[in-house]
Amino acid sequence: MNETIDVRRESSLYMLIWAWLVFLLIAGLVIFVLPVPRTAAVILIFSLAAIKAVLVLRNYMHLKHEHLLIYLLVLTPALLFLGMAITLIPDIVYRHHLGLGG
Amino acid sequence: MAAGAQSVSAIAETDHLREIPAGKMAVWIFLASEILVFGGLITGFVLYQFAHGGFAADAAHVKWRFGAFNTLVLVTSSMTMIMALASARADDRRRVRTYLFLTILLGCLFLGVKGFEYRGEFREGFYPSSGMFWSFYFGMTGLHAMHMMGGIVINLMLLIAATRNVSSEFLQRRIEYGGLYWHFVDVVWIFLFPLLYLT
Amino acid sequence: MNIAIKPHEHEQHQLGFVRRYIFSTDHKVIGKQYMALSALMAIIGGFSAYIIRWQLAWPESSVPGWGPIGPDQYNAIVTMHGTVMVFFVAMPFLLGGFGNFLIPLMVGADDMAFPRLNAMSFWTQCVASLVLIASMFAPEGPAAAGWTAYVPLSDNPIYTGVYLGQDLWILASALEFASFLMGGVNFVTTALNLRASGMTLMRLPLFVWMEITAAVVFLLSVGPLIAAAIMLLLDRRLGTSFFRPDKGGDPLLWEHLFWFFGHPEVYVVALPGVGIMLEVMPVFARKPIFGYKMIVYSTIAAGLLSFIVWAHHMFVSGMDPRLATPFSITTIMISVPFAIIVFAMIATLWRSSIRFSAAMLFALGGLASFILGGVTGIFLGSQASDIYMHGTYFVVAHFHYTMFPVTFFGGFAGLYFWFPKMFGRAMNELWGKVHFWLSFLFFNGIFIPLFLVGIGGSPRRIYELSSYDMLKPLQPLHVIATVCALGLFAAQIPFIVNLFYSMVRGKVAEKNPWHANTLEWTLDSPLHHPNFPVPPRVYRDPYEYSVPNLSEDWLPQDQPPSLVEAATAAR
Repeated sequence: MNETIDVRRESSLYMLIWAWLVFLLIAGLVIFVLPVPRTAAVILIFSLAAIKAVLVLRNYMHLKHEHLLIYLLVLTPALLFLGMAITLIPDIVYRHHLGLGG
Repeated sequence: MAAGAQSVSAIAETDHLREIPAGKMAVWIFLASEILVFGGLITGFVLYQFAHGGFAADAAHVKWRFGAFNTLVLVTSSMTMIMALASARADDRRRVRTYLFLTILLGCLFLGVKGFEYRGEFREGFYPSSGMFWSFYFGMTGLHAMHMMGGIVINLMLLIAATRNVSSEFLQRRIEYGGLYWHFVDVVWIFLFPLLYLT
Repeated sequence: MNIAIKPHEHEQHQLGFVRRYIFSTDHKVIGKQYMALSALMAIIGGFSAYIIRWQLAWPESSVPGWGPIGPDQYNAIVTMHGTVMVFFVAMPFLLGGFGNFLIPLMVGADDMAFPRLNAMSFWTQCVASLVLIASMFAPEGPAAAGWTAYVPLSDNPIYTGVYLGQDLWILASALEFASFLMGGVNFVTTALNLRASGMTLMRLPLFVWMEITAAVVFLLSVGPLIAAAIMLLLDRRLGTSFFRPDKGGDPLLWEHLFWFFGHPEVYVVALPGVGIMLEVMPVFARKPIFGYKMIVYSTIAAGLLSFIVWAHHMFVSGMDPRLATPFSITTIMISVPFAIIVFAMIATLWRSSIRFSAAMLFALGGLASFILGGVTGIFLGSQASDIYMHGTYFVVAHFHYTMFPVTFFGGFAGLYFWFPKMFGRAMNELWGKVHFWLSFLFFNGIFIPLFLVGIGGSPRRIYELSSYDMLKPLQPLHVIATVCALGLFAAQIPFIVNLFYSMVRGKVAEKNPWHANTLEWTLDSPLHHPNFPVPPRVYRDPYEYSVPNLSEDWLPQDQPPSLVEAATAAR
């Protein structure tokens, strides 16, 4: 039946994604270990993390095939979180330069 | 209780929204709010990092090799989890049980390694009260670990269901929803690992 | 709760007493359970208000029925009043109570999407309430850092002297959040997935729109507070330094995280009551709702905007002043969608045939008071004037003038309106009107003086004013407010008598005593399980009142067009 072929194709996709996830993990570790300038390293490592997350979200959590509403359901809190973090920068990041606390 | 076939009538309009199974919608809604829970903690951590000029001194004490190993474990467990779903779709109960069992095993391995790390850190004299970095380290990994434990319990329940005479459709749905939660916990760790271990 | 009903039992529902009435998964029973629980908690919330008001009016005296109050105890009582009223009365009653009871009925479903999860959400709320009550018996007393639990007051036990009580407060709040997360998931899924055929989103009763928006707003806003609560608990118990300034923490982080949730939360509390008012008004004005779509869009806009106004609670907190202007702007902006909704209500009432039933009186009184409350928010939303008014009684009066009308008057409007559907009997209309007028009169009598007290410069959360010379002239205002508060409590007696009497001896009500259009009125009262013996089909929106050329001035949602034509032809 078509189903088994689809399932096999599905399974190879899942294994392929897993291989990518491991590869990206190792790549991140390599960047960490090598004497890469800190800012560049941080940016690269988090970009890799983001790619890994997207791979899991799209393929393992099937966001690729899901209704738009589910996308919104994931995107909205992510945007809210980013908005909140950015709004808090002036307060939390810069207050300490006023010499308060450790 | 997802809506079954809609009866055709001159008046009935089908919304596409009703095609999303209720259970899936519910899990995603729950995950949406969970994003903000970890988001709140991560916001605090990242902003404090900038405020305090980084936590390099303390952060040097976490063992990145253990963290990396755990990341590998968790990512692999995500793979076994999705393979469990694929097996459920292919109606192969034996494979379902195998993959679920592997997922649970890997989850326990993760927790074991984490516990081992904690023990090491306590031995070195690092507790949650040891400073700002440690507050976040223990707080975030602790919360994550509790989510993992919940996930393991869910997967155990799924494993038990897979041994019983439940319908294939029922099992597929349940594994899919359990899987969504499990993958979410994995994604959280994908971000926690670099945040806590690699910066 | 369920007294003296004779249900027509469908075969599969031969459940024992425990499964049917205690651990029921029937949304109607759960709705009533939530209402009963919040009524019990309202006694605590109301009693704490009584103590507060007595103490403020006559600080030298001992509060009758309680005893003398010192500053520490006052702080604890203020904390309990706020926490109980917001989380354990308003939310369970309006969301858990009315939401659970009405949403499946209004969308044409037989129950919520997840009935067992629903039951679990109620019992979680029960446990949460018990934990909070238990905290009142903790050795040093309950939490005393305000419902806002600002740090380091709440973070370091040495400041309030409260150890276990504050931790239990955190636990109770966490359980309450879990309960409403479960409930919210249920509401949204049910409203999206279980609608009857023909019930498009734009034919949903506005009450359902309000409940869904409230649920979504709650779901998206509660996360950061859960994170903050965990951090607070860890600070208190494990010595972490999240909010400890002496260890590098930042107290402002708590405020930001709290109010990121706290502001959307007040709309979560307010929207269902507005929804009730929007259901009651067209029925007793016999006129369609004006601007249904505008109301829906405004509600969504208000929900979205609610996420970007939070720092208006923090104008004088020492936060970066550059944040103040953007937040002032967004705060002024959020008054627009609410103004639209208010205008829509007024336009609905314009040139209509208003019938002043008890439910309608409460809805109208709620609207009038809400307008006053909303207008006073403008002064607080603008940073410049807020510098003076923050932390004064002006704020207290403002939020009581917005929350109270919508929750209290809105809630009673709903109760008088849906009582026949819930219990199969009618409440006494005359005593309902007495209840309204007395409540309305005394409510205004409490809080208008408090506006004046606030402008006069009195800070809030202080246990008496006599230490401040400049505040002494304001004392008579406090006395007026307290006398009216006593009147308000007394005014509830006719309601309580009316409620219980009508439940058992009220006149048996017909299916649709108010001639309303929404689906719940097509069913027998009291309701059966399952709700709809025949799945309903919806043909129109719920506000077709006074449609020309029809024999009746109402047109139910499920009336087929063919029958409508026949009725028209018959004229």
